[in-house]
Amino acid sequence: MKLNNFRLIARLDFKNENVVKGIQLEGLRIVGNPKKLSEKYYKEGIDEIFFIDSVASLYDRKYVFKIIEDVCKNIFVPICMGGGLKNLKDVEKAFKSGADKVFINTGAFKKPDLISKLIRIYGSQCIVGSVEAKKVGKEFIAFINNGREPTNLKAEEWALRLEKAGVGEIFLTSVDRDGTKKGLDLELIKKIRNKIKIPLVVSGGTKEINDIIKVKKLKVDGIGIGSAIHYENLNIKDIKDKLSIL
Amino acid sequence: MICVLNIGSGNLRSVKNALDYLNIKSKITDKAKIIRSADHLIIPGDGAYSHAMNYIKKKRLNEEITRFINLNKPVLGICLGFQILMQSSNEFSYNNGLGIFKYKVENLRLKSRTHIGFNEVHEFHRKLKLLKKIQNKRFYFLHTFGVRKKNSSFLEKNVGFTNFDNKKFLSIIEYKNIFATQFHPEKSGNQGLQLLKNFSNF
Repeated sequence: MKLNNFRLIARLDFKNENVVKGIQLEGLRIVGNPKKLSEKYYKEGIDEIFFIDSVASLYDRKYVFKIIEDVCKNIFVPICMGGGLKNLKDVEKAFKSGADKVFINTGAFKKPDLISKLIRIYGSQCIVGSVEAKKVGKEFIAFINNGREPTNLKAEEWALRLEKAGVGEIFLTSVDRDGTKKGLDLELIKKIRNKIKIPLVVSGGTKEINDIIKVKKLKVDGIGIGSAIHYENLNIKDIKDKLSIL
Repeated sequence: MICVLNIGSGNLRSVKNALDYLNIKSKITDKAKIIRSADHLIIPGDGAYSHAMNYIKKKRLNEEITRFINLNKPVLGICLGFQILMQSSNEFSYNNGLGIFKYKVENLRLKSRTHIGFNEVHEFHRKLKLLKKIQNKRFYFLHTFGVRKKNSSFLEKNVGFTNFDNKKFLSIIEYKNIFATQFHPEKSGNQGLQLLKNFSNF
């Protein structure tokens, strides 16, 4: 199985100055320092890093931009950041501190024209649409505010709406699987993949290499891994070595 | 000193961070005086074409870039910086570029719309100076528009191409003292850092 364009992405959720990880985006525990962890993953050969400000809407967020600024000094792969970016000013700050891309969910849901405004300044390739999906009954519902608040849209409808608004790619998080290491939600991923054409990055539930192989077969473009690398069930270099010889 | 040109949008810091890491002196600016005092010029880029071109014209940076090129000093355009060295682009609406290279930037019409991720650069005919000492020619791409290989002649230029979704497009070009990459060397790990180092030695 050749890696081709497939991207291995480290997913770093943080709260205040620490990288944290919870289960289903709740019960956050400190797992390390963002600078140290991202440098470690960079050295192991990560393709990209996603920074998720997990409590942005609740607390002061000045520290976030400082962290990004610091991290970017020693890391030369793309950095995507998001979590609570609500307007042009927030996004401008994110880019100024060194982010290459930003992802947006809640802000775009509340202000439907935010995405189109952003792509006119930054180009669609720098704007990522985020979908947080949670199963409610038989349907996957799109959530906002870091998985805390349901919307009236199905996850696949929200993904399609973001695609139509012009985002460059979709970043999908399965809230149900986040931090569980139970494998990714393949049913959810298939649903979204069938609905949109733009690149799709998936996250939530990775435990082992086999999980990565399974999602890669679904024609997704990248996988965001959090717990499994933070707690060293997986190592980026190993993943790359193993995938390239399959 | 390398001047990293501020063209009004996107991520300016990343190129500077990479140069700092390599211990190469650089300044981010749009001031003519500082640009003129530099030995090398990097036009970085993220962002939308028209937004950048308007900024360039407003600040009369087009004159500075042309001047720099005419003085035979090395210039490197990256991603959007690569695109604005071209003739024109039809992103959102038709816009003239700087026209240093007479190629058209157009929507690549990829199935996935955007090309994101690491991909291979294939040298065409000749070895490229920018790729010296680089074994692994995989670089990070993040773009929707580009210069298609077909319909254009690249005869006297040193170029490299990249394939994605069955489309071939220009990913690197070298001509005299003008260099440009569609990919982001500052975001391509060690091979990208080596490319920037190569450029700083020209």
